[in-house]
Amino acid sequence: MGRRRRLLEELDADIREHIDRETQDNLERGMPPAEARYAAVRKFGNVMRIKEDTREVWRFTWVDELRQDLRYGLRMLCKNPGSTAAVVIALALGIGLNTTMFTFVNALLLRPPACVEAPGRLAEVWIHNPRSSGAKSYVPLTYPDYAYYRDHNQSFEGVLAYDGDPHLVTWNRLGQGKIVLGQLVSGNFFSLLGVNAFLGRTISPEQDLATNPEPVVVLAHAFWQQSFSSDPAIVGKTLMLNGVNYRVIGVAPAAFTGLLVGFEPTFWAPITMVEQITRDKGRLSNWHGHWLIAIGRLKAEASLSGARAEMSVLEHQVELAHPELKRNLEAAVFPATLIPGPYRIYVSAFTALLMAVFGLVLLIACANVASFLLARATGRTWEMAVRSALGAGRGRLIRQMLVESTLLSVLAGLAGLILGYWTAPLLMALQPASLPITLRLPVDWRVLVFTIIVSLACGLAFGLTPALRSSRVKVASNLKDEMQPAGYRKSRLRGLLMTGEIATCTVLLVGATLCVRSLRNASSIDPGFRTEH
Amino acid sequence: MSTKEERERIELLQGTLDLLILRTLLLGPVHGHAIAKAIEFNSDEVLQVEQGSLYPALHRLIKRGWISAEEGTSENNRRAKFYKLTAKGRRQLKVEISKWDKLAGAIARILRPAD
Repeated sequence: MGRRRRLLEELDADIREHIDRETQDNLERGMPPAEARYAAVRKFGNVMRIKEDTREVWRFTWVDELRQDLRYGLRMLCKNPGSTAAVVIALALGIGLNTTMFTFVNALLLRPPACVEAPGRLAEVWIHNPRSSGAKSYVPLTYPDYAYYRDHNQSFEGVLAYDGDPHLVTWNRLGQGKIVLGQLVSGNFFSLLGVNAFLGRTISPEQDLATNPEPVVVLAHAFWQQSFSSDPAIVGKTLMLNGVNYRVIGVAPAAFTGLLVGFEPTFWAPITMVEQITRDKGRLSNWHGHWLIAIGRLKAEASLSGARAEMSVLEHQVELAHPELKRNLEAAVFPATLIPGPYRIYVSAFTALLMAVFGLVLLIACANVASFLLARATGRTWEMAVRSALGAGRGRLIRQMLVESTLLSVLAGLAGLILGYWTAPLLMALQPASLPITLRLPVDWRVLVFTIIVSLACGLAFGLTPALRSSRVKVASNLKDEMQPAGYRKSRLRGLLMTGEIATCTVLLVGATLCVRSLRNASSIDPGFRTEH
Repeated sequence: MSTKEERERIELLQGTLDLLILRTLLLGPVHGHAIAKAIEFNSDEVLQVEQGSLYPALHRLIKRGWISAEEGTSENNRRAKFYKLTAKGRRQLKVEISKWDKLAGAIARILRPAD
C-alpha cells in the first residue's frame, strides 16, 4: 500500500526526468533546443494517458480482489439458500457446542476475579503435607498461621485471608428467619484487592482485631437490590444475623462477588467475628483448624518463586517456635485464580477432555461440510474453467473458494455464538438445587475471539480441499463440457471422510452412554449415612 | 513522426514489452530512459517503442514482484530511478523466453509449412 502510493507520487518526477534526458540526447545529436524538447515529448507519448495507464496498473490490488470475492461469494450463498442453510446449521451446532464449553472454561479458568486490581500480582498461600499426595495434601491456613505470615513476610505488600467455607446464617427479618450465605474476610480484604465500596465503606483492619472484633457487614450488591430494594439509606442500619446485631457499613460494587468461583456471598463480615457466628470459641487461636485461604499481593520487586521460598522459611519458623505441634508441613504458593490453586489442575484436565471431545464433534461437522462441498465442486468446473481462461491464476481461484467457505463458517460462527449464549445458562439450570453454586457466564472478549478463531479455522479446514480440487482445471476439456465420469479418486476421499466420521461418532456415542450410566449409578450409591441434612 | 512511419511501427503486445524489459535488466540495474534506448538500440532501430508505454509496463512488473525500483544517480550525476530484476523476475524471464520461443516457432510453422 505504501509502496504503491510512493511509486505513484514519484511518477511525475520520473516522467519529467525521462523527457529531460531524451531532450539532452537530442541536444547532443545537434537539434536546436526547442525542437529537442518537442521531439522528446512526442517520442514519449501522451503524458496524461501514460499516467492514467500507470495508475490503472495498480487498481486491482488484493483488497479490490478481496472485495470482488466477497461480493461474489455472498451472491453464491444467496443463490443456493437450501444448501447454505444446511451447511450453516450443521456448523453452527458444532461451533455453538464449543463456544458453550469455552464459556465455562472462561468463567472457571481464564477469567480473573472481577473488580480486583492487578489480579496477576496475587498469590495464594497453602499448607502442604509432603507425606500425602493429590489435592487433599493441600490444606488452608489456621488463624495463627495466617497472622504469622501476614506479620513476618517481606514479599507481599499485604496478606488477606477469607474463609473458604460459606457460612449459613439465619437473618432475622421482621420476626421471620431467612437463611443467607456470608463470607468471613480479613480487615485488609477489600483494600488489598482494590475494591471500593459502591455505597458507604468497606471493612477496614481496625474492625478486624482479634481482641475487639466489630460486628459490621458489607452487603453484596445483588442482595442489597433484591432484599432492600436498593435502599440508599442502608448504611448504618442493622441486621440481626444468628442473634447478633450487625451494622451495615457499605454495599459492594455490582460486579464483585468474591474470590471463589461459583460462590457469591450475600454479605462479608470480619474474620474475627467467626467465634460469634459459629459459636466456636477458640477458633482464632486453634493451631489445628485449617480454614483460611490466604492471598498475598506481591510487591513490585518480588516474584512468585521468591515468595514461595520465603513462605517455606516462615513455615519452618512456625514449626521451630511450636515444636509441640509436630507438624512437618510445608508452605506452597500458587498464582491466585478463581479456582483455588491445588484444584486447578483437576478442573483443567477435566475441561481439556471435554473440549477435546467437543472439538471432535466439530471436526465431524467440518468433514460433513467438506464432503458436501466436494460434491458441489464438481458442478462448478465450468465456472472455474471460464475464470481460468479469463486469466485467473490458480492462487486466485483458490482464494475465491476459500472466501466462500470462510463466509459460510463466519455465518455459522455468528449463529454458534448466539446458540452458546442461550445454551450456557440452560446448562447451569441443570444443576441440582441442593448445591448453592452461582456461576456467572459472561460472553466476554475471550469467548468472542475463541469463536472467531474457531470459525476461521473451520472455514479453512473444510474449504481447502474443495478449493484445491476445483482449481485444478484443464481449461480446454472443461470448456468443451466433456462429461467426466465420477472418478474413482474423487469418491475415495469422500469415502475416507465418511469412514472417519462414522468411527468418531461411534466412539463418542459409546463414551456418552458410559458417562450417563456412570452418573446414574453414582447418584444412586448408598453412602452409608443420611444425606438429607 | 509521419503517418507512414506510424503505420509501419510494429505494435508490441503488452506481454512482449514486459519480456523485453526483463531481458534488458538481465545485465544489471538500468533507469527508465536507458531501458527505452537499449530496446531501440539492440533491435537496430526496428522497435521504436512509445517511450511512455514503458512506465505502465514497469509498474506492472513491480506489482508482480519481477523487478524492484530504487533511487540512484545516473551517469551525469542526476537523480534517477533504477529498476532491477528480482530473483523471481530472473526465473520468470526464463519462463517468458521459452513461451516466446514456442509462440514464434508455432507461427513460423504456419507461415512456412515444412515441405
